[in-house]
Amino acid sequence: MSMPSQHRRRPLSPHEIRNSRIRQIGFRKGYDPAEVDALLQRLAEEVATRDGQINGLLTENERLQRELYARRHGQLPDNAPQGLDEMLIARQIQAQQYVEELMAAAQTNAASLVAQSKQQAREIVRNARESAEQAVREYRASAGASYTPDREELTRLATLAHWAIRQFSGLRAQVDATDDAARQELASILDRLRPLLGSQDTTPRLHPDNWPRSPH
Amino acid sequence: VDIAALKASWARVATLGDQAATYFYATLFSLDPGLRTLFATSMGGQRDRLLAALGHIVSHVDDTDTLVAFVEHLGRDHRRFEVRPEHYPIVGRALLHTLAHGLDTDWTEQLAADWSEAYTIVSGVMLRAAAAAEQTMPAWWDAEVVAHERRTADIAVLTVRPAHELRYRAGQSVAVESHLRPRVWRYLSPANAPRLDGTIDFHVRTVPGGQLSPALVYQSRVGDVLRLGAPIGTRLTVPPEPGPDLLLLAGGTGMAPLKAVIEEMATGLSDRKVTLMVGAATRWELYDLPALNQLAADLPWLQVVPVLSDDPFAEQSATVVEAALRSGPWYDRHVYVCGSRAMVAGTCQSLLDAGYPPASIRVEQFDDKSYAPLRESLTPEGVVAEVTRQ
Repeated sequence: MSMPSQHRRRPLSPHEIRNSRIRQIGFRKGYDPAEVDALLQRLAEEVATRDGQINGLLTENERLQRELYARRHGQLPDNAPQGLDEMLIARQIQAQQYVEELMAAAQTNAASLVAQSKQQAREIVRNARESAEQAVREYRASAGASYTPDREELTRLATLAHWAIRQFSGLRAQVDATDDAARQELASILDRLRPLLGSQDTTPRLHPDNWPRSPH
Repeated sequence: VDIAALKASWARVATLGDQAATYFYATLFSLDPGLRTLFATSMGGQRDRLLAALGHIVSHVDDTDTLVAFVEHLGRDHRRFEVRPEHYPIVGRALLHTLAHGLDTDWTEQLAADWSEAYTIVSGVMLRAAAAAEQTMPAWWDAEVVAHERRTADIAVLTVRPAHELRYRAGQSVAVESHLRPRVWRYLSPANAPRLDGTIDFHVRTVPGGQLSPALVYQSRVGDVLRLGAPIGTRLTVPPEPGPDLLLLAGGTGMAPLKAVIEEMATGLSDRKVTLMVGAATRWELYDLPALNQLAADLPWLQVVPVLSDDPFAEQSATVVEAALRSGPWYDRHVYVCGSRAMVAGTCQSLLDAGYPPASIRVEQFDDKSYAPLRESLTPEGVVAEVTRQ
């Protein structure tokens, strides 16, 4: 690798890809949608990384220009920070507080999502097992002489499978809803943050509306 | 330099705690906005670390040996944060401005001169140590992810290959950063003894709402390049010379350094008996049991005991330490404990209560709240006290 500290991942060719969707047509030969989604996500991540690198290089360029100026003239340019502005410091503190709030909200959200999911998973399993045993009891009661252990096991498995299918669609809807709620909450915090950041930085990439959607 | 005045003024500013640290960083970024990019988005843990490191320096300002060793380590370690010599004067200015702000009318010309001199000495030691380290090792090791395996819903095993040789002892830890969460460093322990091909396994469990671990488990892919810091840690390593038999108590991914220790012992001539008790809530969370069983089959001196604390199908539930105390006594062994903070604290408490001497219990924990070198001398009592205090 020529620039080991810059390359955090092996580079792919650049494309405008975020949020792009490839239409599926009928039953003709095509690409595996999961593979396409994975590729899109990876490409989106890499473009984001490259944006970061470009920003880093711009900052570095600015710094080098300052240094060059200092070497040529034996002093820093006039716009270099001199005195300390308490207003500026206060604004920095406030901005950082909003950032922490944002991070804390996101972290709490994530943690409670995980906790809720685990709780829900336990309940789904418990309910599924209860229904399966209930179905088995009913089978036993109604089978009479035709009872076989195989049929009992089949009844149990069929009930469990039925539960699994029902739960999947419910869970997906819930995840989508939570995702939207989190986006809205974070967007409102960012809106409050923007005036503090002033014109120097609006970081549109950070806005939740611009986050890559999870592939469904 | 008037040491008493330094200590007294620091004591006053330190009472402001987080507020002082917040003001310090705001001042620093006002002086040079470019420095903000050297830090993670969230500054919470950063402020704790700053206060801890500064407090340690000030309280040892008259104990030259301790101070110099600590400050040299600080200087070497700051290379991985991409701190450059020209940043030091800016940090000094921000520090003095913060002290002046905190002490208000009690800030004097004399104090300013004393602090300025002290800062110059400390930053000089850091800079010299960093420059010396430059000759012998990289600021960090780039390490490509060559395998990424999800073992459970929230545990992944990552295998990385450092671009340059990274020498470590089994049982040590390295700081890890990913481009997915820039500037967020967390300590992970290699789960294998050093290999000929240099690859390292990390066992990562997601901390719900955590910063780095979810990225490593859910987002990281083969081909990603992580950054690794220099290995640290002394308490979970096993000295090569003969010693007592070992009892290794692991909770979840805490078994990583202990597995490495076993692998390392397997390459030597050790005939110490080793019992590894590895705990998980359910059997599905014993994510590395086949490998452990293979080790136990290959090594006559090793016994592996899985312990389940909350398994719906298990005959009996127990925590690792409950199972250990039940199957003990182990008074003739050294006890190594590694796991979550709660698991380690609970285990130490139970062992101490059962009369195991503190000197026989070995623990180590590096977290994001305190500066790692300050935690190398952590005792089992210290671990317990820390958790009780919170």
